[in-house]
Amino acid sequence: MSSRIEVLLWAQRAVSRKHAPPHELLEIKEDATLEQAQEAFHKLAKMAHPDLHRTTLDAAELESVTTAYAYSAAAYQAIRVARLRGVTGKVAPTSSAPPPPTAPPERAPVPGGGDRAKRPSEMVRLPGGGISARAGGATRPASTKPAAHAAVPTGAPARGGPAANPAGGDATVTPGEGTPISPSSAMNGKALVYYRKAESALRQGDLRMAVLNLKMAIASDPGSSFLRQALAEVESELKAK
Amino acid sequence: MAVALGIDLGTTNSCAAIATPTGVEFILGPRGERVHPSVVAYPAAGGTIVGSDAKKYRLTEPTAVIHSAKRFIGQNIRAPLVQLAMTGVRYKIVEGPNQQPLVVVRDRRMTMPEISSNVLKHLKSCAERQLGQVVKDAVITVPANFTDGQRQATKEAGRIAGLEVMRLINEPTAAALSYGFGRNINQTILVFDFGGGTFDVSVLKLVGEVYEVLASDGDFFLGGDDLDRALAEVLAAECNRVLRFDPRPHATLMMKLLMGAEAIKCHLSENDAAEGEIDGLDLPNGQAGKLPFEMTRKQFEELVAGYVQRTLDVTRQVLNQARVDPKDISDVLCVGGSTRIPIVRTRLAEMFKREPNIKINPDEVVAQGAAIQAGSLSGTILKGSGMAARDAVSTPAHSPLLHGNAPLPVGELKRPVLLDVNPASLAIQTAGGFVERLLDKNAPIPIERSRVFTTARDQQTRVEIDCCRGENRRYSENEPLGTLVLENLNGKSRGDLKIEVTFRVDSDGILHVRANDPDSGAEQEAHLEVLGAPVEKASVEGAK
Repeated sequence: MSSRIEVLLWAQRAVSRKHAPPHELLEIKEDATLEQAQEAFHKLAKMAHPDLHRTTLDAAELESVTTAYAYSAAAYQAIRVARLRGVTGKVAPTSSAPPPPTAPPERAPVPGGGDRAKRPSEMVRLPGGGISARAGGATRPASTKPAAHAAVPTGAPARGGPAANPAGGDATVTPGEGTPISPSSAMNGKALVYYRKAESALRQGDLRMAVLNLKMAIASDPGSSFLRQALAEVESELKAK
Repeated sequence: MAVALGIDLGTTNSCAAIATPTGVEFILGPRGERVHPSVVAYPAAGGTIVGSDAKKYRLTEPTAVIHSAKRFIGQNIRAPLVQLAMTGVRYKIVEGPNQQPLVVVRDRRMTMPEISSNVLKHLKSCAERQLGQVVKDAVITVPANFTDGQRQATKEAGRIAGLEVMRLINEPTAAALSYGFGRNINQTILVFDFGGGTFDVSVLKLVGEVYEVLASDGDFFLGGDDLDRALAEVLAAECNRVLRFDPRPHATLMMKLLMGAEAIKCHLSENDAAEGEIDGLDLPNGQAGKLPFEMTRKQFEELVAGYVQRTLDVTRQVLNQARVDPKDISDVLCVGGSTRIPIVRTRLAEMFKREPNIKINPDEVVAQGAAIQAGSLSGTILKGSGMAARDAVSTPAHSPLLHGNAPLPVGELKRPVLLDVNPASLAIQTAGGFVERLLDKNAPIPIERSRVFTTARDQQTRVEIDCCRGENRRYSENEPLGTLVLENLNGKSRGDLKIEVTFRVDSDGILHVRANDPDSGAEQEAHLEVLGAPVEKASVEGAK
């Protein structure tokens, strides 16, 4: 069944986009409305909800689909929260957003206080900024912060501002060796065009066309192991038919 | 293909069913009943008795009859509401390991999952007898606002009963599934689930085969049992006045009054007044007591007005969370036995300016939805699954699988896609006793999100990550879930160390937490394991 390979390819793509802006995970425009996001998420759920695949995928495959779906759910939630709050336009990337320009008191790094006196062994934890390009964090953009946070009394003792938060500086860290593979990073531009064609062929269930396009993609970018893997999967699927 | 059972494991009653391509078939008890009391008796004569037979021991051995176990499963016995609920039962509960409640009957000590597993075992054996085959897989429903610990304990009960729990689904969602399955509708509905022990409200958007929960909330300690108890208190006061005897310290007498209260409540749902006497009150002073009573529906409604108001307050709250106006709700589903009370329906009709939907059977619709989900997960509900089409016992009131007795359009049947939600915000403690939220209440599940945190002091080599559940900004105001410890960090100056914390809520609504230090590669994964109360909870307490 081509839906199996389709969902696996999608999962691979979505996992690689963990740190991308939410709209990219849902494959919608950055200024999409709540209704459009909802429609996209429903469509995605009908294709990829892990419950639909529990009898056809093995444990490892199901785990990757579940992970990809779980990231997409977080992306949908980020857009939903923003839109419900009346924020239009692009929802900032959940992974690489810099810390808000004025950090609420609880985000500022300050040890000490009564709590520590009571529990000397306790280590105080602090949220950092977005350094996810390297470390894989998904920080909530300021625009989607829940109302409870927005309601932080400004009169509360200011415990250092953004300047005191060293993590903020890491927001610009470039992707390092830990960056997961994604179609766009796994092949050159020309190959990507063929790859997208292969994807749409798969969606229509045309395995032969998908194989052809994947071969064209490999011809354009012979070094891509991502493409070879995809081709191998589609070919084995074709053989099974 | 093996059948998979859908089970509504209720506080007072349970119900089970299977779904086949031709309809839903309910699992019948020994006397042909579809509704099985969630009661387990351990009579002095020996044995374990479940269901309607167990109820008979309520008067002879009130302390050996375990009911309402769902109120205690997966709970911390020290929680104030649990302590309060303990005053409402006649059997003995003590504190066990991890602060979990243990039931004591004579010299036997049992965990709550063990008690509930007896109910599940009973349903399993009824199903096996009825279907003539071994039943292994099941979908069990839980209240939408069940916590992590309660969900894990429910799964544990399934495991003890020898069931493979394919999925836990939320009761209101199951009801919505039963309502919408195979009808390809496009509307926003509200499920008002007022059962024996719990109360839940969910707002769902139904688009074809997709069931998206927009918001859900509830009150875990609010149900028909509370109304019975309020009425029993009135009867006890009456007993004190008329018979000059206070029955409150006597388990058997109070049980008798409670049973009387339940009967009066049900009678008043159909009639304007109830009058009669509760006999067989054998007072310890040798008097054979008879307690006459007289109550109008209006008096009863005044008595329970506070409880009903609480359900409406929660309903309004959920509508706000979903950003849905009452007038945009195209149907209000009444689920759970307590929605039979006329004042509940009247108040709902006032709120929504429309009559609530009472065509569905409030006691069976949840099990029906669970059966549909079980059939979908196992594939048996779909065409060509190889399952024999049995003579399905369809509900007379409303069977979603047999609309107007027309056979289901099997070829067009699509597997339902349930987009359920995380019932409460999940967060970790940060400096100054505040929390930083990772996952929102009402976010779709399964969901996963990571955030990067840093240390607050120089040379820190160890961090504790306290996880909690709740909406408050202060950690101490939320419910602690457990603590994850990362050790042997290379103590850098504060802010330089990065710690990535990942929260995932799986499809069953159970939280999994991971934390790692990307630099040293130290990774810890903790699944907040629970047997009655979370193990981690105990260690949190111990650290203080």
